[in-house]
Amino acid sequence: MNTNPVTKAYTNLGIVEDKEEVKPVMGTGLLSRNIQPKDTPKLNQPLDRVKQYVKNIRKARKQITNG
Amino acid sequence: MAELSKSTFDYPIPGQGMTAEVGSRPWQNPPQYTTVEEALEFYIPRLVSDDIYDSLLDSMELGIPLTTMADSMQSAGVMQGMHTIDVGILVTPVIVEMLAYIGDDAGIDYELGTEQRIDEDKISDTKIALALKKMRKELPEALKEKEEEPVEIEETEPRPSGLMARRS
Repeated sequence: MNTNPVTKAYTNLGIVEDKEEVKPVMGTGLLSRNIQPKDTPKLNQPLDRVKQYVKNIRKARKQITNG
Repeated sequence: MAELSKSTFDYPIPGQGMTAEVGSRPWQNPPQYTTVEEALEFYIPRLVSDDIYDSLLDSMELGIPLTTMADSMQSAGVMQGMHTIDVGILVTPVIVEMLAYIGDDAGIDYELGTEQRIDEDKISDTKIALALKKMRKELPEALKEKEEEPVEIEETEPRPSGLMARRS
């Protein structure tokens, strides 16, 4: 079957819908562990950047369609 | 006949495509935009520009899938020597999403081109097999027996057809 390469590229991006981040409950006591947020690896590959762009536009689209 | 011979010879000679000097075609030269961002900076403003915007919306209303539109755009970009095929393929999801955004913004019911079309008139083989199985179960026993009875075939001797054959 001859499929459009763009269709393949678009459907195989593998974008996972963002879930609301749950902030860890941090203790305020003196002995509480200071939970430092781990450094997220910087995505600098072209495909990662494309994913990010698509995500951003999709967000904007959702805002249009919902409101 | 004359028309046929004319149209037959009105084609490029085999190998003519390779006679052009190397580097004379746009896609044989280094691309103008080498990164995804540069290519997007070329495409996105064009998508939103006034002269293309209306025709884009018309194409969407006609039912042309967005993926097809994006593919033709990036192919044209490659042919013009704007970017490589790799960059073109990388950029296309963003173009598709941008086209979808434009369509949503204009309130057009567009076709993305990623959905698998299901032909409602076509019945799948599994459904046909299921229906046949049900039918076989529902058939009355008598009818089944009748069906199973071997049909006697009357054997007839072949008639002699020669000149000297006896007539019956």
